[in-house]
Amino acid sequence: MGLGCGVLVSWGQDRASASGTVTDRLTGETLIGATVQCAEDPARGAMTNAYGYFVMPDASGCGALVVRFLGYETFRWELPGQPADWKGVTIALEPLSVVTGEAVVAAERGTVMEQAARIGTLELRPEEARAIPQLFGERDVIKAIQLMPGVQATSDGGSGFFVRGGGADQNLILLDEAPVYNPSHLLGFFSVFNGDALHSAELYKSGIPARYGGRASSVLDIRMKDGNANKVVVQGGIGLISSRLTIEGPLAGGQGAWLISGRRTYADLFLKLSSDEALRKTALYFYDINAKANYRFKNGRHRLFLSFYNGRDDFDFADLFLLRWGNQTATLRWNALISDRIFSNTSVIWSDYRYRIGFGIEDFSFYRDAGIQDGQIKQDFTWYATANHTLRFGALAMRHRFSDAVSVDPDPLPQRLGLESALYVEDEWSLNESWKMIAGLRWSRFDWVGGPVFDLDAGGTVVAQRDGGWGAISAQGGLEPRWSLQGVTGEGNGWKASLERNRQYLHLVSNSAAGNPTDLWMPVSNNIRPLVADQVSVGWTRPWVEAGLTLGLEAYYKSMQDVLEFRVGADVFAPETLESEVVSGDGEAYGLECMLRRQRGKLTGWVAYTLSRSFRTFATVDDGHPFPASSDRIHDFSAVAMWEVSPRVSLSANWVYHTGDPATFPTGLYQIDGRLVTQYTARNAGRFPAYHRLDVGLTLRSQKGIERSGSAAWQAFRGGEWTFSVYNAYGRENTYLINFESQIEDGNLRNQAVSFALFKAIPSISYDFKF
Amino acid sequence: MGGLVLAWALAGCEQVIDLEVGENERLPVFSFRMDANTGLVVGTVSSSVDFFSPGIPPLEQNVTGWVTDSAGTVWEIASPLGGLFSLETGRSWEVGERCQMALEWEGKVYETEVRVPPAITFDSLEIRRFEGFFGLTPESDTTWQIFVHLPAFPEARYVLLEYWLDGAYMTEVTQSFQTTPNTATEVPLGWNQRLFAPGEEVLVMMWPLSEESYAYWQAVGDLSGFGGPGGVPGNPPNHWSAPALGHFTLSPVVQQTVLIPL
Repeated sequence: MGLGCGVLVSWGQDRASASGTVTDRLTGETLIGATVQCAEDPARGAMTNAYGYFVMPDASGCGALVVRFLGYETFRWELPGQPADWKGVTIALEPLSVVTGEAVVAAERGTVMEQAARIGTLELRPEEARAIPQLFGERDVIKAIQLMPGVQATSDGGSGFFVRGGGADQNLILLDEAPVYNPSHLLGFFSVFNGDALHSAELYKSGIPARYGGRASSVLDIRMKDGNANKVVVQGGIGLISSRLTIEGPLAGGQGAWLISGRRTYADLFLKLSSDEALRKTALYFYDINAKANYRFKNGRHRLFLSFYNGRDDFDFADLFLLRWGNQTATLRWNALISDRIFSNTSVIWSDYRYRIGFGIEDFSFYRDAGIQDGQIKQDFTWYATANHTLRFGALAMRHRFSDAVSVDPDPLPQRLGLESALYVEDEWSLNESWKMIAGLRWSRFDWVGGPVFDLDAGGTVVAQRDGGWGAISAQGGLEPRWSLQGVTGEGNGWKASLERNRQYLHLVSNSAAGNPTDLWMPVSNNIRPLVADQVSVGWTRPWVEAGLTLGLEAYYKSMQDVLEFRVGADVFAPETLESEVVSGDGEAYGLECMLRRQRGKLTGWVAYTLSRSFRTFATVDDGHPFPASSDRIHDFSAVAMWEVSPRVSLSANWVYHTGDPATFPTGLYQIDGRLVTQYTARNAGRFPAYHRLDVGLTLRSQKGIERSGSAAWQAFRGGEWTFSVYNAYGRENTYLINFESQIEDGNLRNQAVSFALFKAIPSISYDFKF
Repeated sequence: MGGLVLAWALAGCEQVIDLEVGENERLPVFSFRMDANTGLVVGTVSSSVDFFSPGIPPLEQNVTGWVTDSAGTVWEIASPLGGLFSLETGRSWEVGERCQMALEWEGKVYETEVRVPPAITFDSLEIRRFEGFFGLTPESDTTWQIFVHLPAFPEARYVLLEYWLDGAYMTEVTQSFQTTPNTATEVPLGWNQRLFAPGEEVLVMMWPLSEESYAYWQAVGDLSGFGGPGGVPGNPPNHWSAPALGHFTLSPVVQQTVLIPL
């Protein structure tokens, strides 16, 4: 190990390199994705990584470095005379308060081009999510991402999402590197991500870097704020459904920062006032807490981060029914500059998702407790090897524990244990001034470490059960090549392409497309194979920087092997093993995505359209003919507009439309030996009615400096902003589910389809403050 | 206030809608069974009706059909009596023996081939006083359950249980299941919700099934209102040579009568 580090250090030394961290001047937050270019030779450049760190391997000949980030003033760093002084600097960018003007246009040109050229990647800053009107007035980053092309909400108001025809379980959702297994609060109407505590969100639909793995369709990498390193700041919001409070401030004289943020709904508090005892005993709430601290060591080469999240939902109806679930994550990270060119990140990660569902009748009660707990250690290196090559490599080992116990079972099965491990290497190669290629290779495997192993016969019947220690099941795994190419030609036309393979070792078995808290994560085994997805995508981007516009087109084709579904007639509640209740099949998805986005000026937003199809093929369904997947929505359109009318007033609106969800409908009736049986269409051959919705919002900000009296905090509180919004403004009754009801008309039996919609128009009001 | 908004928001709304499902594809429904022990075939032919404006599914009379064994012997299915087709092959059929059925309906021939599954006999039929679920005391102490006991087999076996109560064929439950290898089976007749009263006479019929027939009867159970996750609707597997509903079940049937004591 020591020898290895020594070799790395010797490779990493170069006196002509420049390195450092780019931060927000007001808060000290690091800026991810900021570009750093040589003033004399713009072809030489670098970009800050997930921790705001950059290395320009060859800064020789540069009199200055130009640092840019969208929404910030460009900074020109005049390089000192001694190259030794070019290393380990902190560059603080000034946020732009006025986002117009030629200077800004020039500043944004490089950034826009760099961002637009990345294939299959969507970035969303929390401030963009804040401006979009959403259900119950929440500022939810997942709901905002659902408005992007290639991303679709699983259900009206829900937090689950489909990416490019994949299932909702095929998305790796990370909060400060920790996997979040259920991103939903309140049955999905809220996501677990409190916008006040978030720094950035990045969704990879394709071109997924080799450092990510474990899911077949996408990675949503959400980073929490580091905390304000300059001053103590308090912000919060009061809404009709929930309120939130965030406090952040410097640590150790600005060497670090801390943040703590909490949110809770309070509908249940009103129930305590009821005269009905059952209602008084009813709970309906969620809360979550985010906390984070970081500390930068005085030599500037080491930095520690500690992140924590705890969220819980509780729905107890008197003593009759309860449903509770929650995620808990913790991440300890150590950033180290092993040399000027080698950046190391070591992470120790904990993630715990569990739920309890229970029923009670008189003295009898029944509970099911299930969940998944992960412990993970991960090591990532970035080696800025030469001016043209940046190598990233690393390894991880993650232990999964799968729990599932039923209270009435006197002899519960032991918990299952799995070990997921991976190695990866990736080279980001600047081919020339205009073209860049990223070639990566990931090797991953899943080992069975403990718990019962079931042997099934061809019909899915359990024929034997045995103890499953290490090696009881042959490890499953393999290579995952990742490749992408991006470049710019002519008048700023950006071209991009990618090829990749992703392996997924955990399946979420669910009998609903939208997903439930009680869905179970199930590992691969001797009966369940990993889901393998291959994707090819190509794209074109054209920014018009002067207008602040970017137009992008991407096309993709994805094939999936060993997708799971419940078999018809499955026992989902108390089977001997779920492995005998599922069948595996294949899938394919393809589509074309188009997005016109404006990120600068008084009117910002985007228009997105996706034309896509997604199919599944199971040998036991419809004689093996392909059928539309639950995620198959042919047309998906969204328009999002945010208009800064004045410094005190802003308006926003979004309109979404998509083809109705596929469904299997009854078409006929017949009799079998006295039993009345329903005849159905082929699987998912029918469609729900088309979905569309308009949301509108108005934000009013108090003007600071008027009507001042009282303490500074009180003044600041009065200087907050009011947000009024209406979700589903024209009250479209979008179908959530369909019931078929019978009635007698003129003496004849008639069946009819009754659509049930969750929402009509939902107004909301909230007040946000910051001091 | 927040609670009111949440309650209003989740109150939802309902409306009758028109679904674009196209015309119902009218399909023939061939429902035939054959007792491999006696060689007796009985069945009905009907067709499906529109779901939204259903009439009574008609029993078809104008159907011709044949049964053929592996030696090429052909038996013609007799004209229906009150809508019930029947045929006496006059011999028992061996385990694994093939049987082909062909039916001609509206000018089109539908064929299928099935094999006789392994026979199963009852270990016993046990009458047991109902003791309630999970320690909860039943409201009455005069209710009974019938437990079907089957011997252990080295491989999974597939079974359809049916019963006649005081001469009436009971259809509220379609009870099909598979046995666990090397484990004796104990199953309450009609699953746990079926209780019997003193003096009732119950004729229990057990149809050992092939795996294919088991898949069919499992699906029928799901679609006719009992069992399953309730999440994956679809038509039962079709083993006819053209799109059709129904099934030809060939089984060495066993039956036994139980009298619930007074």
